[in-house]
Amino acid sequence: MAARWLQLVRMRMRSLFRGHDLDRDLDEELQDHLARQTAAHVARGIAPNEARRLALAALGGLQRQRERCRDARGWRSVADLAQDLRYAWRGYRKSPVFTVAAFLTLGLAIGSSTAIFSLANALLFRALPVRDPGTLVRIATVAQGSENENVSFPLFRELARDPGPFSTIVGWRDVSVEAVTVGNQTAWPGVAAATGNLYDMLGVRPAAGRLLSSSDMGIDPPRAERVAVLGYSFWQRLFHGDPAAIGQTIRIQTVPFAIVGVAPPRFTGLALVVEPDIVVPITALPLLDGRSVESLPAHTSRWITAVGRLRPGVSLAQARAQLAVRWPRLRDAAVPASATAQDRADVRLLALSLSSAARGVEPHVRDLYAKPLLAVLGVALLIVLIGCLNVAALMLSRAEARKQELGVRLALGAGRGRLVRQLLTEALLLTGASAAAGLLLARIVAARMASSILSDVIVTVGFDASPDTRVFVFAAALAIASALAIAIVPAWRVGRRGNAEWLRHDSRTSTRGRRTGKVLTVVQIAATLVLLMNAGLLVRTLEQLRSLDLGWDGENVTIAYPTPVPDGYRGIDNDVYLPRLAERVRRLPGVDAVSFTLFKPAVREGWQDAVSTAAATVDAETIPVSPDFFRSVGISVLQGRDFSWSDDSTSRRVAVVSRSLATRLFGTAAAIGRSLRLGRRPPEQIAEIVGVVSDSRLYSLMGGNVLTVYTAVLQQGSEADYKAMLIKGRAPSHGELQAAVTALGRDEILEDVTPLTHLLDQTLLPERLAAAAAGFFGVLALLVAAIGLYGTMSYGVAQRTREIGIRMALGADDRRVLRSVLAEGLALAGAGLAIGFAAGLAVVGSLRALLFGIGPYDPLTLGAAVVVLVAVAAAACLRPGLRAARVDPLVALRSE
Amino acid sequence: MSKPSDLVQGTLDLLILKILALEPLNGWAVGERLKQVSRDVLQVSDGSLYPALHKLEHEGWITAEWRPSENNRRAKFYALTRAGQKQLEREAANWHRLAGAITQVVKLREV
Repeated sequence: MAARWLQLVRMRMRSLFRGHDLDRDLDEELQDHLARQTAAHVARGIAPNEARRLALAALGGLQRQRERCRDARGWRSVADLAQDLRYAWRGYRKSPVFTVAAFLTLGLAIGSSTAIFSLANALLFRALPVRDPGTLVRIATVAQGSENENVSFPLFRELARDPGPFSTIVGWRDVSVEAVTVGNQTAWPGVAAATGNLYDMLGVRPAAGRLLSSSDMGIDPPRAERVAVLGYSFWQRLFHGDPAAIGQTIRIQTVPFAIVGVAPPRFTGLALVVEPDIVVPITALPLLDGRSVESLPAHTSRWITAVGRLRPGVSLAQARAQLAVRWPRLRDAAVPASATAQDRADVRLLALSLSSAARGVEPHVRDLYAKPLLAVLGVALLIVLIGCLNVAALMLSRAEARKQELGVRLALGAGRGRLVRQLLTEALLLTGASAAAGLLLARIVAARMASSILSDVIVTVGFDASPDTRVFVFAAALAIASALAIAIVPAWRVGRRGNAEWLRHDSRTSTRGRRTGKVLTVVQIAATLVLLMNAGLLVRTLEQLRSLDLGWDGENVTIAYPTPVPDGYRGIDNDVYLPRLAERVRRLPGVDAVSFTLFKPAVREGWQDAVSTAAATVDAETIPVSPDFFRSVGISVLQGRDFSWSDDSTSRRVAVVSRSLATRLFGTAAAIGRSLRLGRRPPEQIAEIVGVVSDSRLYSLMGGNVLTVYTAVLQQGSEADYKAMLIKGRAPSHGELQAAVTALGRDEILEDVTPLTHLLDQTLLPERLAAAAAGFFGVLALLVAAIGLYGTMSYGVAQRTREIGIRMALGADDRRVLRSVLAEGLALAGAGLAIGFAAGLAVVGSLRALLFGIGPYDPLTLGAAVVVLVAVAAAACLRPGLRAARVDPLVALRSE
Repeated sequence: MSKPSDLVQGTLDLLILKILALEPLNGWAVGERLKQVSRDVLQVSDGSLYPALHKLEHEGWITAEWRPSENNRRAKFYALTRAGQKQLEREAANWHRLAGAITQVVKLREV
């Protein structure tokens, strides 16, 4: 048996690699047969010529016999493929301009789609790189009107006590800490707290030392070892990857933890992008706030992100059903004895929600970028389609030019299917090469886009946008689909034509070819217009966002974040310190004004809180700022006064309101001197209005709300420690600023200063990204459409040379010829524009969510898209038109 | 003589295998031998012979080699392989069963 297999393999390899030898072999065998048969006939007394003819006839013709024998061998398809490829390659080499144009078009289109897809894949579709992500389930509690989906510690304890459908339940929490010290080094890492079973459940192994384990903590009763696991990149940064880090003591705020190990590289836990720098047991968290571990069960606040792994064989639906039954009991068991009536009532309102956590639990990045990414992906796919139409049109012209050759092959016995396969192979060679180039392009582009997206979101990037299998499959699918799209029209035409028609030596029979080419051009122009309309809207949105009257001016304003040196805030009195700090920095050369704010400005949506008078309550942005803040960012004081440093912790609370808020609360009556109640629940603050300022969208770029109340930075208690410094005027260098700030002994400046406009750009990154991609694709589509139209028109003129010659011989002048060519081109463009405009109107509505400042049916933008496309179409027709006008009638008529 | 009936599908394979089991032959000789042993009843058209030979070779039941034949001409000689021998036995058994069954049916006396 084995011998038979060996022989079979040998035979097939021979078919594959030695097709030529086999062909020669076959010919020799058939010739031998003919000779013998002829001799046999002659021996029977038949004349030699007749004998030969009879022998040949018995075989049914040599060529046919060859084909039948090849078929019998079954090596035909493989050998033909090789032949088709060689043939395709020769064809492409013969027309390099066509090849380069098609390759560039498709390569760019497929490449950009693949880049966007690999980003979308990494961000939206990819499962977590942990063991068996499919069985991970987010366990959340939800309440009306709250975005918090975490669970409380007592509820987590109840779930862990009887996990029901889950084999394991883990919890974690990101924490912000002031500072961490190791030896004499200080760092500001991202700290997370996790249950000890996290690493075990996710199946990760330490890079050094050990990871947290269940013995490092207890839930019931709560217990915590003071141990910490370092993130890989933090370990590299702080210890340069030295294993001696293990066993050292790290102080988080003032609490000492023993370093026991290092997590593997890029370990982001259950999140998608952020690699935690330090992970401690979740029960150790109260220690950082100076509370005891034992106090944990007494709190009903929901702060633990919980994820469970389903038991084998249990589905998400079954888990939901099981927990739904247990929920009322679980919920009540999770209310501590010390809870107030209000707490009990709040807990009663909670509902349990289970959802898949296979793709991680980090909705923020995903939500923010899902829409723009998918929109851009749609645009990119549209351009692949346009590219295909374009190449199909070019291919068709080539097929017309090659029709004699194809006809000869048909007449010589090549099957129609074989010719179609040839066309398909040619298309596939082209799209395959384009996809390969596109994958390379995608790798570079996706990495750059990922880093610019993420630089805005996080500290340490564990995010990987490099292509995986799914991306390869996507690119391959695109290549195949495009090949089909490209080959289908020429193939259809091969199939329809009679043999004789192919061979007719006459260029006038090509009207049908031209008609198909025209249809393709019209569709292409239509698709381009759809794309331009979308792209135009996205680009205009960005422009609107940029030029939007935000009511503030970020020019020449830089922002810096003073961060405490170790123990720097001991005995701090901000009433004294902040004015001194501001003055110190203001004395730097070129600096006009220095002020503080407690919230980072230029964010998407700000913090809203209730503001009430005796008569009304409204939601308003509540922003603590220092004196000179308004001046720094170009907000003008309309009535009353700016804050002053004497509005400090010892003086009467004051507030400044935006004009809209003043109007909203008091109508036309004076606002100065009135009182406001700030906050929703006790302890509310009562503040007196001392000023009214112009409206601005500094803290809520996208929000429509310009109702803002500013409070005095010194009247916010210890919150003033978390300040950001705004510097108006010349931006000081990091060194200058660091020297001025550290001179006072409390703060230092760790990062370089950032221009406020840069912050704005960062915030608008999703829109910028969408607009930039749309703009790029728009230009690309225009280019591709222009090439397509140019190709169709040139080809048309070349075909009509004789006709044009006759017309000129009959007295048409060159201007008339030019006009007729232009008219034909513009008629095509017009048809495409009409179809495209209708299709575009149907599509743009879906962009609404991404637009800002303009509606999807903005007449100016849509009109501009049409005008630009008409101009490009006219330009594309001009050269063929001029060539037509220069036709010499004598030469044209003689050419046949 | 009437037109030779079309060979039952697959029967040609059996005949070729059987003939090659006797001695290795070239293609032309296979055709001649077939006519000869069947007393000209079975006339295989030359058109079907070579595809059948190539198919059998591709299946691994026969092998081919170029050998000098009479008056120094090279000819492609086919020979049965061991797998081909087994295949021949299988097909021969099948044929006997089929032929027996058909004979029985044909012999049925009409009532």
